[in-house]
Amino acid sequence: MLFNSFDFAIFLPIVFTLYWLSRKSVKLQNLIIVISSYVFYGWWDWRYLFLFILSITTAYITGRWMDTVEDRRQRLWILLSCIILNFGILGYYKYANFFVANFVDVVRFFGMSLSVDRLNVILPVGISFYTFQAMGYTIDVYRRDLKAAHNYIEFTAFISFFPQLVAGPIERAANLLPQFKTARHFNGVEASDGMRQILWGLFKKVVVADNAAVVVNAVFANVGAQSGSTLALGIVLFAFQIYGDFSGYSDMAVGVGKLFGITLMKNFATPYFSRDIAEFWRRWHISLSTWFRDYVYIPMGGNRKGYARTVVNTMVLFLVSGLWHGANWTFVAWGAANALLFLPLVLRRQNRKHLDIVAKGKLLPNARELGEMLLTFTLSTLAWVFFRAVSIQQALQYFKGLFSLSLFQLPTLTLDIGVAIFAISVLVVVEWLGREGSYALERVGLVQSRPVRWAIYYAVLGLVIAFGVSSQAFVYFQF
Amino acid sequence: MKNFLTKLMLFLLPIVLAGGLAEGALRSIPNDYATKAKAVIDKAESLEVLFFGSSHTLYGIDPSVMSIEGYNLAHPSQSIDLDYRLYQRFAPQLPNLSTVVITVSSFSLFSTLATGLEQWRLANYAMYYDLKLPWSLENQTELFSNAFKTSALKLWRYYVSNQNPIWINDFGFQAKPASTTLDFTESAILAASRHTYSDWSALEQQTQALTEFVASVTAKGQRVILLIPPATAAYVERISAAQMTKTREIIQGLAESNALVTVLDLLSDDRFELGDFYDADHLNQQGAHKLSELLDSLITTTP
Repeated sequence: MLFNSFDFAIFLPIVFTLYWLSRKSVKLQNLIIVISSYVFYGWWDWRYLFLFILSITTAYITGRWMDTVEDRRQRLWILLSCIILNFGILGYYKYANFFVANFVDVVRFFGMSLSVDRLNVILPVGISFYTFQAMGYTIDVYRRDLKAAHNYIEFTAFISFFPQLVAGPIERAANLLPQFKTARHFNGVEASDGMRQILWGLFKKVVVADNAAVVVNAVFANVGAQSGSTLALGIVLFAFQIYGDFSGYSDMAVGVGKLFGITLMKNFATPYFSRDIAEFWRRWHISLSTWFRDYVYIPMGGNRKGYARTVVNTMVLFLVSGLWHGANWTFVAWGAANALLFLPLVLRRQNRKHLDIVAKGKLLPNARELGEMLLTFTLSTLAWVFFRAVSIQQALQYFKGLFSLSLFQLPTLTLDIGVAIFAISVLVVVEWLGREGSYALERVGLVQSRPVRWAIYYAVLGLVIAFGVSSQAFVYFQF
Repeated sequence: MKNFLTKLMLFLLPIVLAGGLAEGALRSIPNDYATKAKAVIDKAESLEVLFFGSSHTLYGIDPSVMSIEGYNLAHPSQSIDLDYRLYQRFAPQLPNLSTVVITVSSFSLFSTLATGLEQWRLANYAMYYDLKLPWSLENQTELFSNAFKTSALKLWRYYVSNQNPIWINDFGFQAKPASTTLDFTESAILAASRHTYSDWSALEQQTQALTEFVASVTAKGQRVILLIPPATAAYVERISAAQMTKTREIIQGLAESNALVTVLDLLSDDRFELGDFYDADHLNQQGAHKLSELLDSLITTTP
């Protein structure tokens, strides 16, 4: 079920009503969350519910088991068996064909003949998200950072909470699980804030991302025929497409969470206003970046074990993060490109230089900040070429075309491009003005005059209706 | 909670009202679907022939030049399953119906409107022909089946610019001008690419629809003409040979097993010249008259 679908427009009010009618019983509210989350997930393909339930149940049993075992070594074995099972399922559905194809290529490279049929499997929606959420929990319990959940329904509600189930944020048990243990009380201000955030997320998805996608798809469908300037425009539009798509989903997820009295973590913090790549990665897909930081990078030693280990750890972090996005060398190359951009900062201990928001309290950035933001945007956008390309060859062809003399020609302008640029301009202005809030429109809620507030909402809604492209799936569903 | 819901309702009320008004205004605009649905009922007592198909039929057959009473029930991208459903919808009300002409183009057995690029047209069949479609806002409303821009333009053209939205004549035929600005080769490349399907998953469903359609018509003692419409050589050279072979195999099979079924294969018929075409695969008015006279002759002279 897509957030931007009619099905969801019916589903949400029904669940909302049932949930708050049951406000006197936390157990009943959790049960409603679980059932509605299963319906939400099963709407796509009910057969994969069994896989989902298996993942939840193994994580729950593992947690309970580890809670009773004092010996760390024994706990480690329990943890590993759970991780192997869950990452095994993820690996089978997501990476089996990729690894088999590469194995066949290697065998053929050595002159041997081998033919293996592709596995006929469909990637279950959201498997990377819920597997990581469940595994984060088991690692926390293993480390004794968290007490194991003792209520299966509460635990299931934590893993399956439908707003964040299929595309994150990848929640931490320490944040989300306690919220399912305590009574939730309806808060009108919070619910209004949630609606506002949903509206902004919808704008980012159906106006910005989906209009940009129309142009981007056309550009990438025929890379060889495009001028350098059109390719430049294409990849800039893709940078906003992927941002609008994913951060739009996250905004809607967080907004829906607020309607149910649940606070989900912030997943994006205006990443394109970053002054270096390290800041960009602190602001982009925060829930995944921090997951890898806490469960991969830091346990490997982070940047505390000398230059060589820092280089290795950073490369591993970004390569694994790239591979998480999909079973294709393009994602690995995208991860590697970001690692190469990030490494100089971490080796010079400059990676925590920009911890605050740019031009805080000011209307405009200074020239230096503007230059830094433009450079960071350019570098991250160039890396997106790998992410969007269907193959390494296409990415290289893209770069070849991009850095040609035709870069200085005027790109072919169409109405679609005009609409996409207009949508992006609105996004950039509103996000800049609202960059100090938890999302761009948050401050609108502080405007005292209701007519002004509503005029802003109607304006955004008007853009959604006038320029929205309907029913495009979310890019991150495929991850 | 009460305060929140009240505010939400108040906020949504103008949107719902505006949407309802726009939907009503859009449905009040005359259109080809509603016009044809009404025309068939109005002419029910006298209609002898019905012509089904996609744009190849809509622009290609003009019953007004025929000696028999016919009506063109084709619409752009109308697939065979919808032809059949329209026949089921109207046939019981047509006491004098004796012949049904079904156009089977190179793509007809390999595509459905519901899964094609023009699926937004599907809602018209629910709204104006009262066909039952799976319930969704996209399938049942003008507002949700079209892009906002399309709806806004429709409203503007009809209510502000006073443009006539009806292009068909009293017999359901829409005339195309002499020729398009594209040259025939360019138009053939585009059309052939649009009409070639690597995925043949619709074949079974459409073959079944055609078979049931033919069986249903002939069971009433009515005659069926399965027409492969004329096209330019540029188009014929470029369409999928596999699709054409399969199409001919299926319709010949239907004709061989039923004496009331005739196949009229005009795809490369040399009676049609370049001057008869609007583009690579659509007849212009002159070509439509030629095809209509040919069909008239076939229907009236063959027992």
